[in-house]
Amino acid sequence: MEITLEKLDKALKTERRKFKSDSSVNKSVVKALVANASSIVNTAPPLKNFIADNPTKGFEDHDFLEATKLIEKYFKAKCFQDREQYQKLVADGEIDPEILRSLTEKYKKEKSNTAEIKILAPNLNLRSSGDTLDQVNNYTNQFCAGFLDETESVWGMPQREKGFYYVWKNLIVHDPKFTGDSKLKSWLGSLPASPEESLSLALTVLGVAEDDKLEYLRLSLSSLPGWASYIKWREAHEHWDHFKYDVNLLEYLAVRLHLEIVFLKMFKSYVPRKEESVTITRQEKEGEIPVHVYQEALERTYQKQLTDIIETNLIGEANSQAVDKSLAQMIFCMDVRSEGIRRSIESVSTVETLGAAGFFGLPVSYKKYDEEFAEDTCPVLIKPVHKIEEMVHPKTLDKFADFQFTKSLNDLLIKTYKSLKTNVGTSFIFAEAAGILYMAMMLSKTFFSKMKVLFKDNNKKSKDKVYFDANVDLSASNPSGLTLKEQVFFSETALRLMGLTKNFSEFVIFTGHGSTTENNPYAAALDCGACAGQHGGDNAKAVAKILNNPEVRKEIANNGIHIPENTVFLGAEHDTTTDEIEIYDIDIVDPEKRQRIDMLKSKLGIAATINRESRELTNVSAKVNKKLHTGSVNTEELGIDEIDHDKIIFKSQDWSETRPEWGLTGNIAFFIGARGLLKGSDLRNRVFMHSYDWEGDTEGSALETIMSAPMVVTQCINGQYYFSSMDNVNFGSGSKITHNVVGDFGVIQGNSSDLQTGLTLQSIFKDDETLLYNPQRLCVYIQAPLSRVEDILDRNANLKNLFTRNWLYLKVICPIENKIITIN
Amino acid sequence: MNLGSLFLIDTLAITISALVAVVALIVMQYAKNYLHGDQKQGAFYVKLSALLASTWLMLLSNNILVFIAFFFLANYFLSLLMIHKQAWGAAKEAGGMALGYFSLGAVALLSFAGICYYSLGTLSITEIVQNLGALPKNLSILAFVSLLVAALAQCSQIPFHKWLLSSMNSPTPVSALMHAGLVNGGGFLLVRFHTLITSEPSFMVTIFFAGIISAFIASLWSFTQNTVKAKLVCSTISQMGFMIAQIGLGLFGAAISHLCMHGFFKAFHFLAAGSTLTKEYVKKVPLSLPSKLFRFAFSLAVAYFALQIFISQSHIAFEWFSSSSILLLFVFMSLAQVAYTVSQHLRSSFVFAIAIFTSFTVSFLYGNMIHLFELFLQQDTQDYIYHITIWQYFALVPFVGVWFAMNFKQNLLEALPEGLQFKLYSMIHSSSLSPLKVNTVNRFDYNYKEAK
Repeated sequence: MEITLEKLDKALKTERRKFKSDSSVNKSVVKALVANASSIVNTAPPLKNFIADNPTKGFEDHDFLEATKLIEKYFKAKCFQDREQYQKLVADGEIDPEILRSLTEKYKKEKSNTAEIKILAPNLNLRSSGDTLDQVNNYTNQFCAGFLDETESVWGMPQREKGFYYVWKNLIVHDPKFTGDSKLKSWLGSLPASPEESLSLALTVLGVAEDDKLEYLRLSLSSLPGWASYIKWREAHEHWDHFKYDVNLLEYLAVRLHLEIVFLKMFKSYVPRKEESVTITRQEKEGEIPVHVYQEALERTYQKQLTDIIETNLIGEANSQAVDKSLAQMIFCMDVRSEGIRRSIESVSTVETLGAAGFFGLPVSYKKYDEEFAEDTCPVLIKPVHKIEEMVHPKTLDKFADFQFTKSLNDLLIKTYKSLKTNVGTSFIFAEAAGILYMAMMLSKTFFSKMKVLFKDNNKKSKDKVYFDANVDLSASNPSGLTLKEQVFFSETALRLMGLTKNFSEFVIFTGHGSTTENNPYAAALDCGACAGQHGGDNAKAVAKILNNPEVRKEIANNGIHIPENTVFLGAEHDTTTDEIEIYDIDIVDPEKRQRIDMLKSKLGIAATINRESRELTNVSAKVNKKLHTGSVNTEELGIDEIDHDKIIFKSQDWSETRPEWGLTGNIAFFIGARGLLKGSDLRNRVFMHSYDWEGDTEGSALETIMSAPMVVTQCINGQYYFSSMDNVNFGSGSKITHNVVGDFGVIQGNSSDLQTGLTLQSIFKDDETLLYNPQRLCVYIQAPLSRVEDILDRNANLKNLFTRNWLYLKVICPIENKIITIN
Repeated sequence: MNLGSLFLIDTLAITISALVAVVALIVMQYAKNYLHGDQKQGAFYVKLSALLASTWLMLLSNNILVFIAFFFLANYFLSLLMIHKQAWGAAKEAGGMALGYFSLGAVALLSFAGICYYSLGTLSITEIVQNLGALPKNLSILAFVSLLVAALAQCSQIPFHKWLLSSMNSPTPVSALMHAGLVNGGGFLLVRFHTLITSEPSFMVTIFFAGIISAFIASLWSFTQNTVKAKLVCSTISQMGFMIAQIGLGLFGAAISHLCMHGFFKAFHFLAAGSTLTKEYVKKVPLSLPSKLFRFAFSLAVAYFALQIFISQSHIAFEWFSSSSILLLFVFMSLAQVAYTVSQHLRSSFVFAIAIFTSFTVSFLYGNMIHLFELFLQQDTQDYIYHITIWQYFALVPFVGVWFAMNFKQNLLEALPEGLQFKLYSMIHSSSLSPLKVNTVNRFDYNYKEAK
C-alpha cells in the first residue's frame, strides 16, 4: 500500500466525492478506534492540578521489561540508566555485587525461553526525508498552544466553542503558507464537518490499511505525547467549569492527519512507509550484564537494607514497646516527606505519629472564600460529589470588612495595571511611568527578600487576623455539604483505615501538607498528591471539625469506636519547604489545655529545626543519600558543622530558586503497617508510610482499601519519578531555565515545543548530569498475615498484575510466622 | 592623544551605563540560584562579564571603529548567551539568526563610519557628532539609511524583527538582560548621532513612522500571544517602536527615559515569568452602555485636567503641530485609562473622587520623573521639537481607535463576522510566529545536556 504523490493527488480528487455518496462512516467505530489508540499516552493535568502519575500507564498490561522495549520504540526514550552509570554504582557500593551476581545467574538461566514481542515499527518514516513530520509537529505545537490557552491571550483564537477541528478547518485556509495553492485550499474547504468522518477520510486518503489504522493513530499520538496527554486529560474532564472550551483526541487526530496530507503535498517529500514488524528479543552482547539486571540489583540492594531494618525491629523489643503518646497523636500524609518530620517529632516529644492518605478520607472539593470555583481536594481516582465551603470564622466576622476592603484595593491596582498593559495606546506610558517601581521591586526581591523571612512572624499575625472555617454541613446555603450520616461514615472509615480506633490521646491532630514557593509554575507538584495537587490543610481542618461534633462521636461510639470526651481533634498543615507546622483554630481549645498545646507547638518548632537540618544534608553531602540509615545520621561523621536555617526557609521566598525542595524524589518503598517497625531509622524521606493495624482489621477490608487506593497512587507517583528521571526530555519537563508558561495550564520549552509534562530537571537532578537519587521501582511492604494479602490479590486481578508484571515489588511482613516473605 | 579623546563620557553614556549596571547586578545575583547546577553556569558568567565589559566600552568609547567593534562584540556575546547550550538545535539556530541580524547592523554601522571618515576625515565620535549636520545631501542620506538600518535591526523593528520573536530559547536571565540592555542599542545610536537625523526634517519623519508602525503592529501581535514570554517579546518590539517614534519626534530625553524605564519593567517581567497570575477578587461592576459611556466621558475630562498637571511638571508644552503634542496625546490616553478603570471597578460612592485622585497623582509623579530625566540629559543632548505634518497625526488614528474600542469590547475580534475573525486572527498571529528552524519540533529534539 505504498502511496506516491500521484496517488495522493488522485485520492484527494476522488475520495471526497466517494465520501459524499458513502455516508456509512460509523461514528462509534471511529470513536472506539481513537479511544483504543489513546492508551498510548496517560493523562497529564494542567499545572495547578499537577499530580505525579505514571506517563507509561498504558503499557502496564505488559511485563515491565517488555513495556520498556515498547516505550523505547514509540517515544525514542530511555527507560534505564546508562551501563557506565550502573557500573559506577557497583563501584560505589550502591549496588550490592552479591545481589548483582545472583541476578545475573538467574537471568542467564531464563534467557533460553526468550520472550518475543511483535510490534509494527514506527512507520512515520517521513522524518528521513525531513520536512513533512517536522512541519506537522510544528504546526500542531503552535496550534494547540493557541487553542488551549484561555487566559494568556487578549485576543484568543476565534470560535472555539465550535470545536478544535472546526477552528482548524477555518483557520488553515487563511494561513499565508497555503495562499499559493488553490487546489489545496479547495480540498480543505470541502472537508466534512464532522471530525469522525473527516478522520476516516484522512485515513483513507493516506492509504492506511484497515489493520494498520489503530497503530497509525497510536503513532500519531506518540509523536507529541505532551499535547496528546493534556488533551486526554481535558477530555476526561469534559464540561469542567474551569475551562470554557472542550477538546478531545478525536478532533486532535483528525487535524493531525489532515495536516499530514497538506504538508505531504506541499513538500513532495514522501517516503513510503516501511511495513515491517520489529522483533524484540532479550538478546544482549555476550558477557555484558543487561541494564535491566543492574537496575533490579540496585532495587534489591535497597530492599535488603529496608528489610534488615524491619527484621531487626520485628525480632527486637521496639515492636512490642507501647508508644508514649501522652502529648498528642499526629496524623500525617503517607507522603514520603512525612517520614522525616515524623521521625523528628518522635525524637523530641511524646507524640505518636500515624500515616494516612492526606485527604483524610474526605471525598470533597473545597471552595476557598475568594475563589470562583471549588478545587477537588481528594485523589484523582475519586470524583467528589460533596463540596466544603470556606466561611469566615464567626469570631473574626467583625474584622472581615477591613480585610475585604484591603483586598479590593489591591485588586483594583491589579486591574488598573492590566488594563493599562493590555491596550494599544496606554502600554507605553505605563511601562515608562511604572518602570522605577519595577526597579525597586526587582532590587528588593533580589537583595532584600531575606528580610521577609526575618519579619515573617509579624506578617503572619496581621495576615491571619481573619480566620476561616470549613463549612461541612449540608444546609440550604451549601446543598453539596455532608449529612451527619456521611460525616460519620467518612470519618469513621478514615480512623479505621489507619487503625486508630482506641487509645486516643488528648490532642489528635490531622496534619495535611503543602509547599511554599515563589515564581514556580510547578508549585502544585510539591503539594499534596492525595489532595489532587492542593494543600492538605483544608481537609485536615474539615475532618477535625467533623470529629469534634458530639453527634458524630455518638454515632461512631455506637459502631464501637469510643472517643474520650477529653479528646480534641485539630487540623494542621506541614509546610514541606520550611518544615513549619501550623495548627489551626487553637482558639477553640479549652484554656486549661492551652499550656499543653503551647508546649506541643514549641516541640514542633524544635522538630522543624531537626528536620530542616536532616533535609539539608541531602544537599550538602552526597554520601548520606547512598543508603538508608538504621539509626539517626551522625552529622559529625559527615563532616558538616553548621546549617543555615534562614537560608533554607528563604528558599520558600526566593524568586530565583529552582530547587526549593525535593518533593517526593527518591521514593523507593510503600510501608503498610505499624510505625514501630521503622522507628528510629533515618530513611531519608524515601518511604511512603500508611499506618495499618492488622489485628483490628480482621476481615481485611481496610487492607483491601489501602491496597486498591493508596497503593495504586504510590505506584503512579513512583512511575512518574522513575520515568522522568530516566529520560527527562521525553517524560519530564526539562530544565526550568528555558521554560515558557503557556496559558496558565502548561509549560513549553522556549519558542515553541511539545507541551512539557512530568517533572522538571531541577526537581530530580542535583545538576544537569547528576540525579539526586537513582530511580527505583517501588517495593510494597505489608504487615499482615500472608493469607490475607494473598486473598486480596486473588480478588483483585488488577492489583496482582502490578506485581506479576514487575511494576511493583511485594514483601509481606507476616506477624504469624514473624518473618518477612518476598513475593517477587 | 589624551584620555579625553579616547572616551566620550556624557550624560547619555552615563545614563545607559547605569541602567546596564543595575540590571546586570540583579541578573547576576538572580542567576546564582537560578542556574545553579547548570553545566554552563560558569560559562554564563564569563560570557556575561565579557558582554558587560564590551557594552560599557562601547558606550564610552570615542573612536567610531572601537565603538563598532565593541558593539559587535557585545552582540556576539549576547548571541552566545542566547544559545547557552549548543546541544539544543533550536537554540543554536535562534542564536545564529540573531547574530545574522547583528552582523547586518554592524555592516550598516561600518558603512556609516566609512561615510563619516570619507567626508569628515575623522574617526572621533565627538567630532563626527559636531559635523554630521554639514554632510552633503546625498552622503547624508546614505549615512542616515545606514544608521537607521543598524538601529532598527538592533531594536528588532519591523522588518528586522524575526530574531527577537525567535529569542525565547534563551535562559530567562539572558532574556531579562537582553530586553533591558542591548535591544535598546538602536535608541542609543540614534540619540548619539542625533545631529545627523535632525539635519533633515524628512529623516525625523521617517524615523517616527518606522517606530510607530512597529509599535502598533507588535501591540496587535502581543494580543494574540499565548505564552508569557512571547507576549513580553512582542511588547518589547512595540515599546521599542514607541521609543524610536519618540526619537523621531525629537524628544530625546523622553526616549531615553522610556528606554531605561521599559528596561526595568521588562527585566522584572522576565525574571518573574514563572509566577502565575494573581487571583481576581473583585468582579467588574456590570454597567450598561450609557453608564459606560458616561464614565468614559468623565474619564476624558479627568484626563484633560490631569494632563495639565503633567504639562506643568514635565515642562513639555502642548501646542498643535508641535512634535511634543503626539507624546502628550499618548499621556492623555493613559491618564484617561487610569480614571476609567478605577471608575469601572470600584463599588464605592467615592469612586469618582478616587478616579480623579489617582489620575492626578500618577500625572504629577510621572511628570516630575520625566522632567528630572530631561534636566539631566539636556546638559549634553538637546531635544529637537519641530513642526510636524498632518500625516503624523494620522498615525495616531489606529491607536486611538483601537484603544477606544477595546475599552468597550476587549476582544475586538469577537465583534466581527466569523469569516473575518478567522482571517484577521490568522493574519495577525501567523506573522508573529517564530519560524520552524528555531522551534523544538519533536519532543526529543530538546536537549538540556551538552555532550562532553
